Amino acid sequence: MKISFNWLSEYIDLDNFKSNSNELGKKLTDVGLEVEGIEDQKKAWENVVVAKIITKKAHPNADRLSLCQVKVGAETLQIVCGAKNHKEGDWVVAALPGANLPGDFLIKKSKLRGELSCGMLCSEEELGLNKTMDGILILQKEDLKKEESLQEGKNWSDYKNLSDSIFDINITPNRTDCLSHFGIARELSCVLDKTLKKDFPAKTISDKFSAFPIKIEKSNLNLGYSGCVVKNVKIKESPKWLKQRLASVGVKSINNVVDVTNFVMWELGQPMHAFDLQKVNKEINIRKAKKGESLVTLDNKNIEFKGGELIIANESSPIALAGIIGGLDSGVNKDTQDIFIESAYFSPSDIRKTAKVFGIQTDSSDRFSKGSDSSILLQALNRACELIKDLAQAEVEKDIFYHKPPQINNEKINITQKFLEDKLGYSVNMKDFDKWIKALGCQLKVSSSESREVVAPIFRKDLCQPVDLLEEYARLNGYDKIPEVLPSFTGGPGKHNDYYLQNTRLANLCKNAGLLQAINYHFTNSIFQKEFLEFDLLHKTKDLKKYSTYMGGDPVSVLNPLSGDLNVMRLSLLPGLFQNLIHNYNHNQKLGNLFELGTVFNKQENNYNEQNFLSLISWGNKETLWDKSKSPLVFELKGRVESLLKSLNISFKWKVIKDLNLCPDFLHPKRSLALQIRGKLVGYLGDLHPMLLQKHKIRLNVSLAEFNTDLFNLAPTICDSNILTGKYPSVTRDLSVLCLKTLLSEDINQLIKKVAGKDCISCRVFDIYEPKDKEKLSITFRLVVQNSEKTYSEEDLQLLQANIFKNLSDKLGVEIPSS
Amino acid sequence: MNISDLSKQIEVIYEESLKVFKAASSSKNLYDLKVEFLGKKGKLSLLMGLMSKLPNQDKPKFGSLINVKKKLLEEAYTEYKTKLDLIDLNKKLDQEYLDMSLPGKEIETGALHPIQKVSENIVNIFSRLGFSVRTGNLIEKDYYNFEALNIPKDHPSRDMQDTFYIDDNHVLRTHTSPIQIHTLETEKAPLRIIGLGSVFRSDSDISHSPNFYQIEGLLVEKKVSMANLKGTVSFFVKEFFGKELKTRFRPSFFPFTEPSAEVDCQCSSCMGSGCSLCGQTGWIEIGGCGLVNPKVLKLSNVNKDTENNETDWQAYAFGFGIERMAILKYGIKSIRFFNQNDIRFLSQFK
Ligand SMILES: [Zn+2]
Repeated sequence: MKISFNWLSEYIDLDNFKSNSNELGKKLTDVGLEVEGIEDQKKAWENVVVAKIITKKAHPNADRLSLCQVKVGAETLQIVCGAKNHKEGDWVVAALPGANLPGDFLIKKSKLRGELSCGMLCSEEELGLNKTMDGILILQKEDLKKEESLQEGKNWSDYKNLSDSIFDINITPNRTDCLSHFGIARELSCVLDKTLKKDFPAKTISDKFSAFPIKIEKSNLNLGYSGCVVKNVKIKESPKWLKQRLASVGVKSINNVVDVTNFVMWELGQPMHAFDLQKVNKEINIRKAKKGESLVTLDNKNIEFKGGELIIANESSPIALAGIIGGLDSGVNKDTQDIFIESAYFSPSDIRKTAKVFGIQTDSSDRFSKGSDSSILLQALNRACELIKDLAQAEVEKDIFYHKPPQINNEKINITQKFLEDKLGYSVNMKDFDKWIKALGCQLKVSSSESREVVAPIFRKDLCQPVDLLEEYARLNGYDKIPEVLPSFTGGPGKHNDYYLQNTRLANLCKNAGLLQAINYHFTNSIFQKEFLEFDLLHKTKDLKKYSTYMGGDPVSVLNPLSGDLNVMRLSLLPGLFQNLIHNYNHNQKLGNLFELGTVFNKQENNYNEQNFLSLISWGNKETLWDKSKSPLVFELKGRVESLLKSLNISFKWKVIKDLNLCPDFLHPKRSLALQIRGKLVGYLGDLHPMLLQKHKIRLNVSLAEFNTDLFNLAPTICDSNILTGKYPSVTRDLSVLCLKTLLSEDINQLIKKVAGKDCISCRVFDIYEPKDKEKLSITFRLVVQNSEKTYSEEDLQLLQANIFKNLSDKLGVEIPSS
Repeated sequence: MNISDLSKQIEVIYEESLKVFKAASSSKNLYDLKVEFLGKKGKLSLLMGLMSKLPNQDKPKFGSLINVKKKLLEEAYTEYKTKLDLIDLNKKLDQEYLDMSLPGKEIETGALHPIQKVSENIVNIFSRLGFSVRTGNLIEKDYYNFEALNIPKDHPSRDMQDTFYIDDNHVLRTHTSPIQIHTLETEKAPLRIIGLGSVFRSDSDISHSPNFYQIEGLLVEKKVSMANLKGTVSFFVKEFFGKELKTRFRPSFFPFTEPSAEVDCQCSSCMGSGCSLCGQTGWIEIGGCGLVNPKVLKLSNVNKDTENNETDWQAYAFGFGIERMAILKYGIKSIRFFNQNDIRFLSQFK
């Protein structure tokens, strides 16, 4: 909220801070009214001065430009000007080098078509004013006469009386009492220990308001309503002081009456509204709108009521959306003669709901919905009437309408010195407590030397518990008085939760495996996600069932997304990682490995499931000096995953996906695997489908994998000492076989292991060779065997080998090369 | 045959042997010559066979003569072999020359995301004070995200947090505070916990991301003061930045704490003298904190009312934005980098 230093000074003596607004800003921040910025108007207009044109000549090299000798104080400068409306002897505004005009327009000395220009003559727009003339601003004679001390070189801010500092204060929702200049002054009177300069008398209550009936619907009795009639108003421009006040807080001047209502709101925090009495038309009804009724608001928007919204209506139709915005038709305009001024209190939740429904936010709705001061209605009404009487030469009628708001008094709070000291952690001076609590406007009763009974004023609805008073004491005393003491603890040791432990372990294992950790948003673009997970060659629409069956349900949408790019919760981490790949690929990173650990979401009926996934993506072939390996990328990824799972002590099984219906669409159907742990599907690994690469113009291999880490079953580490105690050495034998390409190497491997039985230490594929002219593949397995009772002799090995070969050939049709 | 003849023969063989040993071209060649002269069927051994033909009194003399020469030859052999071995070794070393300026084989080094790194870092600091981590769901019931934290429906304090809704009753949690409520409901006081994870606000500009990370702490004890809170946060600031930085509290408002404070720490870049990072103030805002509002402790049934009985539990809570801490710790220039996952950015956080 904007607060003007000059305006504030009307209510409290701030002379000490006149040349040091930063100091006042610090004071406000220190008590919880955070000053987010201070705009020093004087500083903003540095090097912008009033000047007189001495001579004006044509520019020798440009028809449209003129060369002006301009007196800007003691010296005269040459300025090149492009406007046509000025002449010798005119008073103008010159921006000299170093000036920074609105819109961050920095003025420098320059040469224009070969002629030196020591600044710029300003137009109204360049000075941030409304445009009333073409070309540069020529100061008018009558303006000039008023300024007795006018001289060349006078600063523009002094000429315009712009020597104000505007504070931008972040008012927290609990401090609605500070949403006005008077409110801030009241707070400062406590902080600075100074009395207020002004008070605001209330309008006298009379009970014979007879201008017209005002009816309040019975169901809306939680409001307060006051108003009175002002006759023969002269609608005109507001005086300069009023315009300036409103301009300082960013409010546009409309006419004297509307400006007064705005002024009173920014002065006292009470939103006001003025109706054209003629449009009130005999009667005011404060009631709920009926379905089908409508209103054109001040900002020329048509509102259709759904029924139930609180409105101000005349005999027949709505004339204002109560507490939010007035109607265009019933507003004050240049032809208005008599007005009705409203000063009301509306229930915050009513205003909030209605403002939200119509998406209208005004200074008025803002204050009502946060909770306005229900005790200030008549003061505000009086202030507005007095000002209008003055500024519009109007007659204020004596009688007022007054429906008292439900002034719920604040409850008594009991508080003790011990309570304050225990919770603050330092010793408390009760004299200070008493002084500040009284200065805040509370009623204070000293029950004993250590205990107090406090009732907060109506405008401080936020003070309702002992801790609230504690905070008042603490902030007025200064938070810097709080000492630093580590807490003591009477409980036992704690333990991080399993999710955190597993997640941290996985992240570090992946890092050690050479992968970079990615973190993407938890929401994504629904179309991108759908087209990735449900990649469909035939472009048939189908739902995400196939992939989400394994995930467990349907995608979860965000009701109010920021954009279409973030409108659905992710079903998988892979679309995000693929987008990261595209980003990196487009930035010439043609090789990379990313992993992400994160939550994915789905919906089953009305339950939202969150599962924790680990996903990996690798792209590009390593082609460094020492690594020209032609091994398919996908086996590098498979290796990484295997080493990760081994590090976690997880026993797992890969399943080659033979049934295409079980293969996720985004995977290459001939290069995909499923991972099983304890017989349960926990994820997939494979190459990305080539059509997806083509679609996004990625000319690289991409392999990826995704696992549900909630299903990882971490086994405890147990040491197998037998491995070390075997007396007899192990022996290694390479077994080469010829087989059809369609046969899975893993099936052969399993059979070899089975035949070798308990002597088998390990068996793995050692080499693959594809003879040029054959349909068959030569695979070499390296078998390691060890017997616990004897050393394997060559004869034993021969026997075992023969047995293995016989089994392979009988059961799998594998050929044994004759060699 | 007499001993002097044989002695001469020994001398001849010895001299010849020495000569050829010396002339040997390689240790293999030398070894062959050794076999030729000293081997079982070598020249010297053959002479030995003639010993039987000598008169008995000459046999010992002959034997010792031959042994002396054999020993001398073996010594000579060892000497030459050592020399030849050295030559061979040098030859082999020369052949094994490598351009050692070539690059080493690349072993990929992974990296943790800065958010992960900073989270672990913060958790480790609070672990030392006895806090342990809790996590929770990201789609949260309205009650846990708002109402249980003293933020009723249609209350202006809801405006402080722009909220993403999933349905009328579920939101994407706007802070990690629902973790506190779940913990208060399911675990017994006294408690020291850290809530950690991703949160959402429907707000996006150059300094705000709609999905970011928070870490917060909760301590429930019989006696908890603002001084304890400041002591804890100040300890954390010093440990996290590894410098003697001051901590400052400023009054603020959060519906779930009373009193509430914003936490500033001394700017670690200028040590408080003012620089562009801290906007010349010398201070940097890092989070919020306060004593837990008695209404919150009552709502989650930790206390049966808000009357401040002597036996009631009290609590403090604090929270920090993780991206903010990462920006301050690593000098990251834009929040944009956190979710772009550019590998040139990520690979810097080893
Ligand atoms: Zn700094």
